Amino acid sequence: MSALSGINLGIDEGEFVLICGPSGCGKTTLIKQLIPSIAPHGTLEGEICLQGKSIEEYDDATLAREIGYVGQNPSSQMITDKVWHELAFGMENLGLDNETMQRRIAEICEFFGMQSWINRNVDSLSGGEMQMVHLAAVMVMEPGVLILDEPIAQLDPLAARNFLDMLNRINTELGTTIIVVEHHLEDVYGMATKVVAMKRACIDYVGNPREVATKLNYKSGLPTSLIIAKSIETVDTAGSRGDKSDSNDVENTLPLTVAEGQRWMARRFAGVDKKKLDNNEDSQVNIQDNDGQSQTNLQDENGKESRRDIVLRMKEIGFGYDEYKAVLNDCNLDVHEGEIFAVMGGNGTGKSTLLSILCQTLKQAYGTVEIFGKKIKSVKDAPLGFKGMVYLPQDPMALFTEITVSEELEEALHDLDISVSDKKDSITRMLYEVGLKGYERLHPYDLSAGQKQVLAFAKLLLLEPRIILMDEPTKGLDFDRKKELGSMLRKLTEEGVTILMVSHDIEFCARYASRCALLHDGRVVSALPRQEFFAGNKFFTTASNRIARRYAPKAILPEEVIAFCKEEM
Amino acid sequence: MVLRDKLLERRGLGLIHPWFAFIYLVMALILTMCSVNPVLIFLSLFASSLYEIHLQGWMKYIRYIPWLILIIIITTIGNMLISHNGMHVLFLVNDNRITVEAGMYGAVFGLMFAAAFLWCDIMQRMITGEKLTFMFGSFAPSLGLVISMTLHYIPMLRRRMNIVHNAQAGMGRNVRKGLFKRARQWGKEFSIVISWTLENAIDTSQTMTAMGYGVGRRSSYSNYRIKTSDVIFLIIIVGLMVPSFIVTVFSGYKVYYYPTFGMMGDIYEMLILSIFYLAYMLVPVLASRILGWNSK
Repeated sequence: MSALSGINLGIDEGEFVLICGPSGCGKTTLIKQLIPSIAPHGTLEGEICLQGKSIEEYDDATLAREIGYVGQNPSSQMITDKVWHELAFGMENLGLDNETMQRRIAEICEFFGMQSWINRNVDSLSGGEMQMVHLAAVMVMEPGVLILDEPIAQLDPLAARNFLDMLNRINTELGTTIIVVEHHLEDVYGMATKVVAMKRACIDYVGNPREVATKLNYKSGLPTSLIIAKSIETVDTAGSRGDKSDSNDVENTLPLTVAEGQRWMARRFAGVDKKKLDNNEDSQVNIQDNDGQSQTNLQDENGKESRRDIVLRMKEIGFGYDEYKAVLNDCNLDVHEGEIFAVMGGNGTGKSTLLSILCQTLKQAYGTVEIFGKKIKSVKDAPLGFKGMVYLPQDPMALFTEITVSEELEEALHDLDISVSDKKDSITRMLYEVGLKGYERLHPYDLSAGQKQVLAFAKLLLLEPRIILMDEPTKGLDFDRKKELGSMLRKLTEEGVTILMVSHDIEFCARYASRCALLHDGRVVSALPRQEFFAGNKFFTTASNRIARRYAPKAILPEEVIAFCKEEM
Repeated sequence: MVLRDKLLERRGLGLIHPWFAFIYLVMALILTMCSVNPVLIFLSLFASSLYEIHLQGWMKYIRYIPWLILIIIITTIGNMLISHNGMHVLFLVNDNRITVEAGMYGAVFGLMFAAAFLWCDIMQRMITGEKLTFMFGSFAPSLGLVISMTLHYIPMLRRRMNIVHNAQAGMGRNVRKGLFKRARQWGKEFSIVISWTLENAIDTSQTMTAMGYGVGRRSSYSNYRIKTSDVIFLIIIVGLMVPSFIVTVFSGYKVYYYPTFGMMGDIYEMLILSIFYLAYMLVPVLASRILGWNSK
């Protein structure tokens, strides 16, 4: 079976090309063909040309200079110990002289605004900063084409935004051709000048973003405004079928960004009386009831809250890595049994520290931690492990010790006093439950990023935990995987498991968390049920909410906005 | 701590061209190690202590003192037990003479080691990884890159070790009891870190290839240029080095310990030359006063 077939694609100079498609459709294989030095081994038929000349006619040095490549994992792309050396690395390879290197580094620092970073240790950079440094290190070689493979998958939303803005600047100000593969299309879709949608080793559609938008039928991944608008517009066009100008109109008016989405909403509701909208408070409640499960869940929680036990509690915790800066400062936190509690906040606000303190792998300066109502004095006291509390690290690699998936799962139960047949049973059951059946014999490292995460999670679930702490569980996952993870979490909470996660992922938390809070200035602030939390926030909220808040202030998910729009029509 | 180290690099030896600073420190080490003259060794120890105090402050320096004393005690006792020469016998152990001279000789050696220890510590602080990368890079670019990569990997491995340990603890694998179990757990954590890092190294090598590693002869980027102050520094240290060498190496000012302690040569001449020696050793302290952005 060929990984790619029948690919014909022309890219003009200065274009911003977005390649999208479901996992395993050959996106990465396609772009790696453009970089012969790292192309996967195999048979290649056909021809790849760069500026009219076959790519095989170029020598390695020219290709290294002309084609820049940025991959997914920020930290493994760092080669040296200092930022300046990182920037110089490519030019050193080409054997440029010191004078030229200094000038180019000076220039690139000016362009990227990273003058103050130049002497920093690479080790002290955050993921977003690393990715930016790598982009700069590639750009300093002055490539004509920049190829990026899911460059923002591992970044937090703010860093991802900055990175994309920088790409846009490079494209528009320097005229560099950009080819980017991405799953998460919310921000990047509107920037592209050409979209290539792939499906099963073939190119499905090529065209400008709005054109392709009408054809794409992804359920998720597209910009929120597009999802909302499309599901409404298709209802409309289906009503007035056959009118050609109408469908053209749809194409022209489909919104791609939040701002466009807001204007689209404004157009939609232009005819609707303001007074009528004000009366809509009631109908909104109705809509959310229609939304069903999540809302009832929520009310459930409100009702039960008083009765349910607090299983995790932090009381006036203070912590700092050195005497100069407190990371946590009088931090209070209560997590009830059976809820999914999401702590959100930017980079470096101490989210991961918070989890370490709950595990007591870091010791607080003052304050108390209570788990299951019992005061925890040290890591020995903490009920970590079997039938207790478990912690899922950000990087699943930190848990993998064995050479096959099934041995990996066995390892989880290794030291426990369970009969062999029971172990076998629960492992088989787990493989089915998490959808890793059929992968037992693979090496954990050969799984996809999403499967690795799932395997690590499955390993912990075998310990039958009562509390699960999760550090950025959705990092690097595509939409389908997120959905699976989310429903898995919901199912667990139904069994009474408590989940505390720290996350950047607003959309995920808005959909699956029962309560959300922000970690700010060392404190957990505004811990509220998710709907109240996001509807109450002005900036820190979902794209759907930002698009629709003037009309439906309580709608935080695309479905809710869609339901609201349909109701109004 | 890190911030303070950064500041130190902006003063004195830290501002001198790496090669010159390196030459200076190596010579200071050689001069210290080449003589058994207690006066000279004392001067070297004094100057290096002064610079350490200047760099790190009293409080940090005081922490070194027990170790320095320990070195001196060990060499003193050691030499007394090994060497039985000398006129002044203190007592006999198994028919072996324990002498004052052997003790003195050992103590001077102890002082020499203490001084050498401090100079090495200073060197470690002044010749940072970055400078090492530059120094090696200037004649063997690939070696410079290897050093730089190593310096990148060390903190990364340390951080990952920590992450893995926490992750294992989070599974209830925080083994505290039993040497064997603890060793096994540690081995497990270590192997996780190594395989994780090797896996990432594949990515890293792809990145390196895509950036043209190995397409031709590498050059080496450097931030360092020989400045006027470097030249002046070099002239001064060479000027001081010559008389210092005479006083330490050339005989005529020899110190002997056996059969009893004594000195040869003109003591006044030696004292005058010792002033040059002291001046040489004090160069970093003086340089820090003169050269730098925030001289006190």
